[in-house]
Amino acid sequence: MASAEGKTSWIKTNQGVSACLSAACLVLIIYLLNQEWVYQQLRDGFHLGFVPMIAAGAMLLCALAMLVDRHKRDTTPEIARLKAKHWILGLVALAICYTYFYFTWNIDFLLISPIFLALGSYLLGVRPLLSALIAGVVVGSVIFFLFRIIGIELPSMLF
Amino acid sequence: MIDFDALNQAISMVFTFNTMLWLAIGVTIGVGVGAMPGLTATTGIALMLPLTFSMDQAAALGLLIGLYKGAVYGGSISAISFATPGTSEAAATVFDGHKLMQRGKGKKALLIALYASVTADFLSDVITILIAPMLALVALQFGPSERFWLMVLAVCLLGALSGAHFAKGMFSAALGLFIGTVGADPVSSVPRNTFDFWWLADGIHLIPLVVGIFAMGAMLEKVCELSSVRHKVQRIGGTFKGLFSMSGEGLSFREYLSCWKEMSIGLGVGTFVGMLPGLGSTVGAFLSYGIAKQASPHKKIGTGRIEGVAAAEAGNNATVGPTLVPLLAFGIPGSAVAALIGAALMLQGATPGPRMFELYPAIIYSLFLVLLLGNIFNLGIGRVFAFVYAKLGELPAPLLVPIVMMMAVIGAYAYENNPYDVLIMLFFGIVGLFMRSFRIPEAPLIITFLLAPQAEENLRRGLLINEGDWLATLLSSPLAIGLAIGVVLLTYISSRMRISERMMEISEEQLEAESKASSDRSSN
Repeated sequence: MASAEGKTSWIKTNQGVSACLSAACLVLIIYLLNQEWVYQQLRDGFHLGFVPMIAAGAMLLCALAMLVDRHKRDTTPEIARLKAKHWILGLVALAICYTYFYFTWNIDFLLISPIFLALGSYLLGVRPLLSALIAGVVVGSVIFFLFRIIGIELPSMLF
Repeated sequence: MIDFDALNQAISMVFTFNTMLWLAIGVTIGVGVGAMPGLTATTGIALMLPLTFSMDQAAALGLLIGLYKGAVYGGSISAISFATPGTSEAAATVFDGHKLMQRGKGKKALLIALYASVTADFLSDVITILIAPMLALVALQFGPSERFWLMVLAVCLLGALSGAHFAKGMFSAALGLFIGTVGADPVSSVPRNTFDFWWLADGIHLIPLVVGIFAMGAMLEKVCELSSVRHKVQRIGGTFKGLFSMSGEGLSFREYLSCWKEMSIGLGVGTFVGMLPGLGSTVGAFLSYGIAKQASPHKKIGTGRIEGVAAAEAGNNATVGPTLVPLLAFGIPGSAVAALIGAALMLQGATPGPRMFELYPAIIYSLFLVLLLGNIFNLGIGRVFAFVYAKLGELPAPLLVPIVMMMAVIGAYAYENNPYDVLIMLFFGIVGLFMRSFRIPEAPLIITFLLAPQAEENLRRGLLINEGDWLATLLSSPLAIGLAIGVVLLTYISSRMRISERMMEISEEQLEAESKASSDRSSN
């Protein structure tokens, strides 16, 4: 782990990230404490919320430990590199994946998958576009038939 | 005692065309996964896990164990060919392997890597087969409170030994425990912790969780990396040119035998490290390499010697079988891969643990046979196709990322045809990205997630037996007291002594020393 002093902002140090984690854990604990089921006693005398509360408490304890331990001023190179745009990019990638899933299961795997693969690899840097398209069609078809062999049906109008 | 009926049944399950085919497919995919930088055995197994529930038990084990064995060996191919270890456990192979490659002895390096991997893997599997049943006999004597403390001890060990930061390891374990409580409670099946989402009443399924954390998380990280490399165009036209083109000096039997000492060190270290929860094959490879270097200074390991490749490869592959020992003997997975193999067994209806030897002996024997046979397949496929894989390692990441993402989406949905599983997988993808970026180890999360219901069940059973008396439940026997003291001591010692951090430092020091020595030699 790299030292962060003077190089990256505080929020990207272990202390900064763990402060955010501690706050999130605290919110989670407050939420749990406001839930009726947490206090519900089962027939064996056990409280339903006992284990979730222990887990949330342990998470808070570990996050607080990170706030003050000897690594508090360190930052990981990965966190140092990450910017807000990367998180947005990650969320966009997830949204594209869900869109791919939605259209695949509502239209046709063999039609949508090559488009997803070709577009994805092209956007990430594969050139020329024709290579990306050929790779998309080949990989999509191979996966379709491989899944069919093992008995998993993927939606298709053709087969 | 050998149950010959079960053994016969296992033989008839394993020696079928179907199982052999899936074992071969597993090894083939595994070596490819290992050879491609950016993909690991865990990612590969997480992606393949959803496919196994439609297979029979032996075929499922063949696919996953074959993939695991192949991937651990496969990492050495790109380590030797391009000095880019396909997996972290192959990093120690770069020191000598790539220097041999630069001297035109790449074929020799690839062959000793393969033979050392298979030799150590096979012998460690034999040790696993001998040790696991004996430990299971001991584990059968444990009551609920002993089992509870054993699980707590394993989680503490995992937190302490996974990654360089104790608090992060423990945070991961706590998060796994929390996620494990989502859905119905394990004893009364009363819904809890569902955040008012009806579709969480059944809990979070393992497959979307592991696919999200390991596969989608890793790919999101790659997307971020690739977006930072501006306009780096990857042309894929010429990648497949020159397959099978590697020529050069082969490896003689005498040379293979000359590495017996390094392979023995790798076997011993790897087997021990593999059995301990949390350490893993990377530590096995570096420790073995370091010890071999110290033990034979006259061999000048580090200057491009086959002995160095043998020590590192024997060290990492010898962890493969023993990593299953805690899973089979105690029902506690010692690594993320063991957790995924345990999950595959659970999908097949067999809960891993000491009672598995009594309840499902045929599955246990099948597992042992697959472990041994996997080495033969690894040897054959690695011997014939190592040079093809060396070229496949050059496949550009931009092509790989959408393929893995697509497989992740299909895998998450195909498990139960539930669209919410896809949403859960995508959510854990972003959690996985955060964990990777903040270097929170993923293994404690998955293992605690699997152990959480069992631990709660044991605790509550103990409370019922002791009529609600917590002290009598938790400290019911000298063994339970010993285990509880072990938990306290381990937590204290690991937070004070920073065992895992020091091991990481040793690995990093070795890497730095080797690269410094290498640059000194090239400047001279």
